[in-house]
Amino acid sequence: MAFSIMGLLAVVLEFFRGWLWFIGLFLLLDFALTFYFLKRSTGCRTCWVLPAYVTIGFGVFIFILSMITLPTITKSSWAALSGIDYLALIGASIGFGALFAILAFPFILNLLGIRSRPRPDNTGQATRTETPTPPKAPPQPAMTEKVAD
Amino acid sequence: MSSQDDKRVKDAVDRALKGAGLSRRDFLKLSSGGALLAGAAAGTGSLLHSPPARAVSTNARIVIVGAGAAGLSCATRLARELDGADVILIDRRQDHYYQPGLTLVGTGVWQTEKLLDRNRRYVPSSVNWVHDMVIEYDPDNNRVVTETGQVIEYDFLMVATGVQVNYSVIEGMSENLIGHRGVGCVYDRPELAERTWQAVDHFVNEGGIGLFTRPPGDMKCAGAPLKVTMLTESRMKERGTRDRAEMHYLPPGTSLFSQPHTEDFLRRNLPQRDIHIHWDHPLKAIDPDRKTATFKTPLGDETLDYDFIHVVPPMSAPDALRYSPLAAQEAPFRGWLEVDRFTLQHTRYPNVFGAGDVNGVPVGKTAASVKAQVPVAVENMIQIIQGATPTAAYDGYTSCPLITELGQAILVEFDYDLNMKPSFPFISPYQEHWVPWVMKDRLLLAAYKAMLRGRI
Repeated sequence: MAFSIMGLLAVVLEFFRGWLWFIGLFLLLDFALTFYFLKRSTGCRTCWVLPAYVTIGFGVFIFILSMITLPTITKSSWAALSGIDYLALIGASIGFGALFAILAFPFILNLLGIRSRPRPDNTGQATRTETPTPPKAPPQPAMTEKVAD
Repeated sequence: MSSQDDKRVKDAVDRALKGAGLSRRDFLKLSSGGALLAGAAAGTGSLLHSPPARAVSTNARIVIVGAGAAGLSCATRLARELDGADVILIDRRQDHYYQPGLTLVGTGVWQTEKLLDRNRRYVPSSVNWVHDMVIEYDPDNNRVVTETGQVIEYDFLMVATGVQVNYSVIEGMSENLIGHRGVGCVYDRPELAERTWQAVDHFVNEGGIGLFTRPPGDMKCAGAPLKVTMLTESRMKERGTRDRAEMHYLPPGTSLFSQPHTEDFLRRNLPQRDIHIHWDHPLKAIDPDRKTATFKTPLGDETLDYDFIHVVPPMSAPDALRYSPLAAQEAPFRGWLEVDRFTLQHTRYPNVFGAGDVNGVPVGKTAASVKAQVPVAVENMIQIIQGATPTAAYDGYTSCPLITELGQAILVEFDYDLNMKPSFPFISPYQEHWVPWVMKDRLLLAAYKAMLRGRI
């Protein structure tokens, strides 16, 4: 029996129906965190590479965890798997890994994505008094050990 | 708008964004994210509350008898596809339960709560739900009579009553016995399946002689007696008690399953698991006090002792329909709703259609058959309402995720010709796999609910 894409989506929706409020809440939190990061990072030096690596690492961890535990979670065992089951297990684990990585990215971005605080802006601080810096002392010659002749 | 106005607007936007601590680029990023979110929400919303796919205007009065899987699916589809029709659903039951899960409850895989639901959640608001039961069909006068004496007239009738489980046909059997004295039966209500698990659990721990029966004639989910047998055996292996039990499977004839490849598999698999097959053994009577069961064999009655027996009573259309003019008068479908096997239209009353287990068709009294039959029956009824000839055809599709072990199943799907019709060609219908087990355990309930809402 053929299933249309909309039919499959309807089944997926029914599968998650009881959790939709939680998923919605989590997505809102993710969007809020992304918005917060963008606001916070204005004028800062940001770093996307480290959060990306950490997120990928987290995704890989979930992938491996899923590979190991999915058969048991589904009341089955690795011994029951054959042929197409391995592909399905890998596919499902990749899916879980990607999903959790996407969901975790905004959190990780906020934790690791800002490299430095914004520099103080000197414009508009006309009343600030500059303290004269003392002149730098000339460089001292390097100490050399006296060697007895 | 002048270029100076443009500049003023841009400056104002920039000032506002700066006030919020955002650059214009950030704003664009957020806007596109917001658009994606809104699109996703709109898509989800349309799946949750789908608008009419197409509305056929009519003032026809349509009566649907039965609010099971087929009745609710028909109600949802008719309500969505007809504009102005008076759709009446007749069923007294408030509770709805997921019948394909009864075997899982009966073997301790699921908790009962997972099966329970309410019809109210699925009946569309535009459908008039009459909380009553039909006790008389009068198709010559286009009306039905209910238990409370209401006479309800119709222009079109959809019969979706499901089946009746006839305990009394087996001498000594009653539903009160289920769960006691080693008697199990997963074929009726969730609480009976739960009590069956108590009996199965005791047998799995203690061992003894286990008899697993199957009735003659048409029945819903013909794979269920096999699933109960194989899951019980699998439970024993899991607990290390298999050597304490002697297991027997007793079909009423000389076959185990209608699909030939599956039949071959089972003929090999059951003996390999030390499950003895006794052909031609329809259950005739049980004596729960002495724990004996009598079978009507070609060689005469045979009485066997048991410690656990899975009784599957004979099934029929509900009496009100079975003895009505709508029932087939001739074999092989005598007593079932007489419909054309392809169009599902009644062969003598063209304004009557059937959906689900009550139909007198060659194969399939399963939820999967309901999924395939309902769109055909509804489509053809709408064509008749429009004065056209019914063109949609049901090919006999049915499906059985045949659980062979805890964690493994074969996804068997076939049609009237008994040819395999796999929905997912990459899943072999000839081998045990983990994927069909996951589908049965995790996904089919969601598919069932999507079906009740008329989305698949």
